[in-house]
Amino acid sequence: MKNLFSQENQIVTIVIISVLLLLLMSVALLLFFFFSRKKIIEKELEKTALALKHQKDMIYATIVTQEKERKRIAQDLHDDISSKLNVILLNSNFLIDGELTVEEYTKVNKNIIKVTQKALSSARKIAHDLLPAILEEFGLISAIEELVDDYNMSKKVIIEFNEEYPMNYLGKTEELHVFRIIQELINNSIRHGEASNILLDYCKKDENIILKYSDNGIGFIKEDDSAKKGLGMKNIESRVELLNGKFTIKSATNKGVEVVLTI
Amino acid sequence: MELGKVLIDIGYALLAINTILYFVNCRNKTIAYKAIVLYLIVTSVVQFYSHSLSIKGDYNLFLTHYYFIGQFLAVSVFFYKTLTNKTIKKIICFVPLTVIIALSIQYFKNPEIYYTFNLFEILITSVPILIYCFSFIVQQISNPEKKFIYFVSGLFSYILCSTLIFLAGNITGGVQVVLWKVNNSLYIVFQLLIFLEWYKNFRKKRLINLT
Repeated sequence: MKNLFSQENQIVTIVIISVLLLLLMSVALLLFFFFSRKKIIEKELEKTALALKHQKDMIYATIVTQEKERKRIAQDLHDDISSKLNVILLNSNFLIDGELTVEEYTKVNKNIIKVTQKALSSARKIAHDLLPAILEEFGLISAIEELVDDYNMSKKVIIEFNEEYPMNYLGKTEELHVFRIIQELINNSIRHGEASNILLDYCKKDENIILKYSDNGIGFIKEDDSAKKGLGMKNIESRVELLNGKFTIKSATNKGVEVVLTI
Repeated sequence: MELGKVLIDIGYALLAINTILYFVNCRNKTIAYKAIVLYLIVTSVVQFYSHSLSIKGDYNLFLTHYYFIGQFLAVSVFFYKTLTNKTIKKIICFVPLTVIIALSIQYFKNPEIYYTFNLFEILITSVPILIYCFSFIVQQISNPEKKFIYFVSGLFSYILCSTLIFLAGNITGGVQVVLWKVNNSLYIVFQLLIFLEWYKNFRKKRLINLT
């Protein structure tokens, strides 16, 4: 024991203790590293899974909307165009069969012309609903103005539209996205919000385009899942993502909806 | 058999096994992996040569210089290839050069230290390795890739503790034997971690035939 406390041995003992302490420290450090690493990687995996889920939801929304749209077009074609073409075919067969008096002949002829005109205007209407020609030819503002006028004429809702937008500031595709977003918002306000007044501001501030939209409808509670996961909203969201824009919605029961979109 | 000798023998055996395992799978591997192989070969040659010298009763302390410098250079190559931070990479290029110049000056001025334990050399070659290890650990904290993590953990713990033991290497006395036993035990743990690294990440996995 005496030997252990001689000066040289004391130094060695100190060294041994220091080595053990260092060992403890390095093990603690490595353990800390391994546990934090595990946690960080778990968090990151969670984040990726969430992003994937979001993407999946978006794709699902797109597909469902596409199918819905197809169904609508099919119905429009069937109801408006096919039925009218059928009438025309029937009348034409009458003409081929002959044996008609002059009076009947004129009547059938007139009928054919009338129905053809109706079919034509139906076709034009369907095409217009799919992609308003005015958007292509005269730009976004004219298209919105036309949309607003159509709604105002129906007297169901009054839409006030203010704009300060330099022509063709956005590209054609972007303008179509903005148009669709506005269309969807108005649709939602009337269908779900029962709004009677809508205010629409579209202007350029600095380098950004700002779209302010508000209505006086019944609004919705944001946490409400049915409103959150609506297809229309998802569509708007994915369009905003394509535009690289920011999108905020404020709403409360009976206080209408306020939407601000910055591009 | 004496405990100290058993520890030394286990350490040697593990080192030999690891060197062979790493060397056999060396083909088509990254430079970082080959740097570990180089490190293991340098260590093996020094260890076995020094062991044979000590059996003959010859002086073997000068081999420590080759051990420390060889270890430092091989590990520098390894970290140069695995670390991604550009500043650290630049430092890794620059440090070995400085170390070699500093040591050359020291040996030129004072050649007789070739036959003793060179404390300055131990310090100057070990501290950079500790810093590299730490950078590697920080870098890997958010990386799901597990390659080289066991090796670096072992290297970090072993160098941290053994540097202190080697620095105390010139002290003589009865309790000093205990110190070498601690060192040998740590070395066994380090070699086991190197083996674990190979087993987890570089072992040739057998393909299961499903047909």
